[in-house]
Amino acid sequence: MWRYAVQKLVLAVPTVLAVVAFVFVAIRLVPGDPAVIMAGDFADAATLDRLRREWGLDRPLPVQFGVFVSNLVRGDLGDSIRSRQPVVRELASRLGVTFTLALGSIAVTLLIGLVAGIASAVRPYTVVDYASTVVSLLGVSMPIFWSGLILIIVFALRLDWFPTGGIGTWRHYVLPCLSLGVFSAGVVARQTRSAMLESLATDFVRTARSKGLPPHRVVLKHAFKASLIPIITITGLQFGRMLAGAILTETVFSLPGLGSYLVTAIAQRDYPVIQGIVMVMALSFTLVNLVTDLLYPLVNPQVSQ
Amino acid sequence: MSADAGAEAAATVGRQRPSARALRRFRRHRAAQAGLALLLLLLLAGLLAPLIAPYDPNATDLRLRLAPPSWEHWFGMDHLGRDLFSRAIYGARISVLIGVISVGIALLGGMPLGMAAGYAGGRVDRVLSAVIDFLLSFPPLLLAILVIAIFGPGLRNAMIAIGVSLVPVFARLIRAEVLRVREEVYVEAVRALGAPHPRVLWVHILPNSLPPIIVQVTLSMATAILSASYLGFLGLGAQPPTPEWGAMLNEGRRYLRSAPHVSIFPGTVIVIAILAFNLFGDGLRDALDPRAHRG
Repeated sequence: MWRYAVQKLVLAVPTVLAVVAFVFVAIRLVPGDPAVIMAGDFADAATLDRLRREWGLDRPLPVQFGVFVSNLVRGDLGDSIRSRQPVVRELASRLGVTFTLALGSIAVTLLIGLVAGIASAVRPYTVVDYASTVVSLLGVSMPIFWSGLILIIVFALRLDWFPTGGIGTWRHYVLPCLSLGVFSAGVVARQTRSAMLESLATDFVRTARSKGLPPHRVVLKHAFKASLIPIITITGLQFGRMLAGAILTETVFSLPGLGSYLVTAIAQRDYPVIQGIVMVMALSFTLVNLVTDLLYPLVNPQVSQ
Repeated sequence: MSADAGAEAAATVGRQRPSARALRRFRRHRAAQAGLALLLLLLLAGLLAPLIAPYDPNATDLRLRLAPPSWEHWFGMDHLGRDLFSRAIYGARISVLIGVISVGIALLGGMPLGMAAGYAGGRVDRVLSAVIDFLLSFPPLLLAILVIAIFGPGLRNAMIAIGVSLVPVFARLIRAEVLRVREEVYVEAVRALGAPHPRVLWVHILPNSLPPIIVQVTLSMATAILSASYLGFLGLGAQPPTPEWGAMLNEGRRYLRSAPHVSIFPGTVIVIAILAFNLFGDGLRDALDPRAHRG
């Protein structure tokens, strides 16, 4: 188990480096002179020269990358062009919002996805199953912003149960988490259904049933446990989609998180901020993949062998 | 002689052509047919937009700003007094265009990558697969937004960004297919006969890898249209006054309280379009993939 964990951790290092390099190079593909972009069209030649020296733009790209990585390790992502504040500080104040949104949404996804998936696997080809399939399909086909807007119209404007947007109390997170969570619940439900159908047909489940165990124990303890690996995989993948989806949900509900800040930064061409947010999002996704890998042996010890 | 002919005919009936079998399976798939019907409707609306749309999509009538749905204006009017139904129809044209161009770009990029990795094998495969897996580890929407951040917002850049974000999906699928078909005996035979590599790839391997690629094209169209609406909604895709569904919905967002129809109708059209592609794609997969039809 420990050997497996260390192996996965070591393997994650090149991935993290690749992500950092990829985002670094991508941002430098922006057409035009970075100094002009950052200082504005009206900056004089002396200012531009000074900026180039200050930001190391006059040095070769590999050197720039080395400096960038060493700054990154020290927690320095440069300064925002617009606010002149350190990017790290700007991101830190918004990370909590996105993190809360992602966690709440994953909870919604798992709750709806697992219940619907298990219910339709236990009663395949019945009304329950068809209803769950239709809901899953709708969840997959519904744009995140649309479900968000419908929730706002119904639960905030008509019924006045929840606020339309912004942050403050837990009530501000209910509609955004529902909107983002439902989006992935369909995928998790479908995966849970097929994994459960497979494990419900195995010999050990038949044995458990014939021993006279109560049905809920057979389903939840025996069959569900055996289906966990594909469910964990798909939930991990959904987390990545959720981070990208947070960009939309935060915009719809005016949440001051990383996603809505990214949209503003793109509009303002604030490249240090764009670079910082894309990097944080990509690295979070890498981290979730790592956690997913580390969860496998806890569910099935054979994985670590 | 006649006995031989009879046996031959019986064999033909018994061994139905794969395409006929797929068509038969598709005909039995009601959800897929519903998807196809909706898709045809969407395509027709897109192609014949100038003939079907009752009004000019950009003509404004400020007296009718935010007017609710009526007999004259089925979807109502937007904040500039433009007919939403006509705009939704023109939006179909833009969405079909986005789907075709983005998936075209994804195929153009993914096909050579996947074919090279799958056919060459060895070190080429290891390097290309590492690149493909790495790109796949990014959520497609984030990748598309990164491309937009670099090259700037707009419909053309959005189509390129979405196409690029789908390249690794096609590359991986095509690689897997080439790997599978490459090992078939008939491919070994043509290679033993000395056929040049490009011929083996284009004439023998690619046509036999087509079914899953066709399914992926259909499902990716849904992803492309959805992503374009996301970018349009965020103001990073189609710019006003282009009647793109996501951008239309974004424009209506400010009037949710007084005129929710401005957002609800474009949103509903997106849901129907995506649902149509998903239903059709799922049905196509069931029809084309015999492994999915063991039951």
